[in-house]
Amino acid sequence: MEITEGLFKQIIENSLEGIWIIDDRNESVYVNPAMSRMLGYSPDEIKKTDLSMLFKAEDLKTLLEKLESRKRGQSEKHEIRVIRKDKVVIWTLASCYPLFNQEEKYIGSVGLLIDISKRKRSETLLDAQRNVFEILIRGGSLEDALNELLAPIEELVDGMLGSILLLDKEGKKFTKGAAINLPDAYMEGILNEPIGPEAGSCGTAAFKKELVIVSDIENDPLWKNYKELALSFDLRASWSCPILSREGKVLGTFALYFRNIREPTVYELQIVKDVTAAAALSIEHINMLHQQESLLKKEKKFNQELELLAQARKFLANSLEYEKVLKNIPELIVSHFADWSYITLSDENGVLRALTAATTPESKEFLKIFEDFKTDITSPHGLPRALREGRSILYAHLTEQDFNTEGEAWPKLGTRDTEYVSGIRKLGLRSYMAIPMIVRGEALGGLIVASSKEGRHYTQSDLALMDEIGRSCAMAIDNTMLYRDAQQSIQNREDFISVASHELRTPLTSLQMRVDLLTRMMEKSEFCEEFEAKIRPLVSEIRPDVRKFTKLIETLLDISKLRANKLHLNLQEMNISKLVQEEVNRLKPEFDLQQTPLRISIQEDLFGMCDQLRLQQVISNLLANALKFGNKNPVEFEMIGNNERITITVKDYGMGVSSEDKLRIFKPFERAVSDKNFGGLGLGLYISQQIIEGHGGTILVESTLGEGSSFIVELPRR
Amino acid sequence: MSNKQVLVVEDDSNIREVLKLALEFEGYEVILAKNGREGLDILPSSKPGLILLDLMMPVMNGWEFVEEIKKHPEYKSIPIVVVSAYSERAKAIECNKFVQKPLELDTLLKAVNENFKE
Repeated sequence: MEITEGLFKQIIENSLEGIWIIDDRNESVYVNPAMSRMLGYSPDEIKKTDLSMLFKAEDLKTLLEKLESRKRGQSEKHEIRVIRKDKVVIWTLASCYPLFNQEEKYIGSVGLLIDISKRKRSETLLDAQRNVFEILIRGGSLEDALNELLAPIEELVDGMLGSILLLDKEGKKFTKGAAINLPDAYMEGILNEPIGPEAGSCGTAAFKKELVIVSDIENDPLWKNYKELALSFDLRASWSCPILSREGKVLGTFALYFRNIREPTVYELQIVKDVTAAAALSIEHINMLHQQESLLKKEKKFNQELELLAQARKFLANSLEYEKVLKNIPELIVSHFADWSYITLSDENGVLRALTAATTPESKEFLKIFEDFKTDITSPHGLPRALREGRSILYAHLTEQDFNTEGEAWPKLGTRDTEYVSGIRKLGLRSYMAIPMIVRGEALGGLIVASSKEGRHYTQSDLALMDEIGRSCAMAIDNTMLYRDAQQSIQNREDFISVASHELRTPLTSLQMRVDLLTRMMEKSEFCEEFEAKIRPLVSEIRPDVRKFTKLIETLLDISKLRANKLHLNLQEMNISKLVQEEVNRLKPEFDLQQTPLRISIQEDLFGMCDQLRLQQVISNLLANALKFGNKNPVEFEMIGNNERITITVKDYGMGVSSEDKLRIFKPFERAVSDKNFGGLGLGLYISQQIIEGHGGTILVESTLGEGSSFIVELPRR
Repeated sequence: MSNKQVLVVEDDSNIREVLKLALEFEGYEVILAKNGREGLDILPSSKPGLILLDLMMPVMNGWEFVEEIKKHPEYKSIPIVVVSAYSERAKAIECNKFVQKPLELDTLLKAVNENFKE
């Protein structure tokens, strides 16, 4: 094949790359058909068009510099924008090299151009999206992010003024928007306008959920209500695309404005589609962030509330003096979320009196007006209302009118005292809660929590929290009162026992002696038959009864001494073996009488410090118990000693003591079995334990239910 | 008249009376005093072989009475049996026998019989 000039021309004319030849005076001398198609001009038109019309000003400068370097023989490849005849700017990749004649003189330069707009658009969009997300992730506002999206797009579509408008939650109107080059005054004009079927490009696009192209604002019916506004800013065309969430909900619109009447090209429609998708992602992202943030905030608030509640309960559980612990509550509340808080308590006449108040440092003036403060229980508002209605009351937003005291008017407070009301007003009360403290229908008082901080208005959830604290306070008061009542009852009982037993003792002593004497006299005399048969048995029954009675009174006396801490031990060094033996011997006849074997093993001559009478009392008590609960099985009494201690064990084979009763039986008025089965006051073991512990020793029980018990006394031999 | 005299110093009239009955039944002659002071006043005109003494009494209590007795050479050897509920403090008193209230007559009479000095 012969390569001819005609063949070259054929190749050039059919090339898909644009070929553009510029001469040494920078005038276009040739473009091939592909170049002509790319620019939208005919080859002849291009030859007549100045380069400044074909390139953007900033690009032209670079181009001319590059053409200069061509003269020095330089070739290169670079990206450059070209303005098409329809004013659309396209990106091209240009491979350029110089042309020299045979004398090696520069005669021009040739450029081979490829349209890379599509790639460039994708790159720009990707960059823009990346920037948008960076801004959002760094915590920037949605407006900033959307502006970041708009800026490169405005460069991509020549002469375009972009805006992104956001719909409100109800989807009724645009409330916010981003725009870079659109005049602010124009934006203000369209924000807060309702969307609708004929509400300009954006309003209509949002309403119809479809792309709206208005190429001529002045003559389009969709713009009839807004065209004056638009024309006053020289806006002639407006295309708008709804931004849809993944669920298909309209989030906003992306609009492109032009100062000339214009239809979009396919290329521009693609941009609209891409930008809208990016905007949708950004808006959804920020909405999600907001949701997360509000969830976090809620969680934080919830945690704070929990902490407040826990602290309040801790305070309230701390002490049984409610006056003291209640003082902590307002302070605690103020530290969490109030400017001042106080508690009033009802006195015996039902008058609500101030107990305690706390304030922030800024609101400490409150303490001055609080000094003489008295709640007026006739008030239709505040705490009096809360107490009447038996529920917490929230005053979320107080206005000037709510402080009105003129004429018959009641301010929304628990008093209409003008000094107090004006003081509160001066402090800037905005919102408050009145929490009643009620227990079993009795109004104890109440808690007030007040806010004067700008923007802090209490809500129902705050009210619920305070309600909980109010309930805890009321419970604390109630518990204290119950405790005090119980204490008083115990004191009364002990006073009664003490007085009764002392008063009974003297006549009882004389009664017992008389009975003893009577018995003695009767033993030494003989009487008539009838007396012997009827009266003697009767009289001899009196003595054991009186003995029991005496014993009972002695026990009660011991108890009142113990309770009053007046049980003094008279400790002396003595032969404990001997005194224990004496006591066991004294009780032995009682065992014989009840046919209960008593096995005794006492180590001799164990000396130690003890109160003889008290120790004998313990022995007597333990043996009496063994006899009483031992089911007539043998009872074993053992006493052994070493250098350090003496151990006395009283073992029976009776009913035994369950493990949960093992501690209980040593408490006053306790018995392992019900009163019906066995008589007595249930004080013996308690007294015994007190006596043994007074000796520095211990007493405990080892037992298996149904098999018997061992009471073990250990005494130190000091 | 037996010369087995016992002086009972006791403020409670009921107990005083029953002590008198019981001691007389045992064969003693009983002189009564309502408190330590009366007891001291009565001593010169009597000659008891034992004093039965309560501690808690008005005017002059048992501790003060014993203190006075021990100062007199002719009285200080008279045996004393103390009858009291106040075991702790009663132990501190100088006496021959301590009998715990509430009284058991047998115990009391045994103490008197054992300690009586002709």
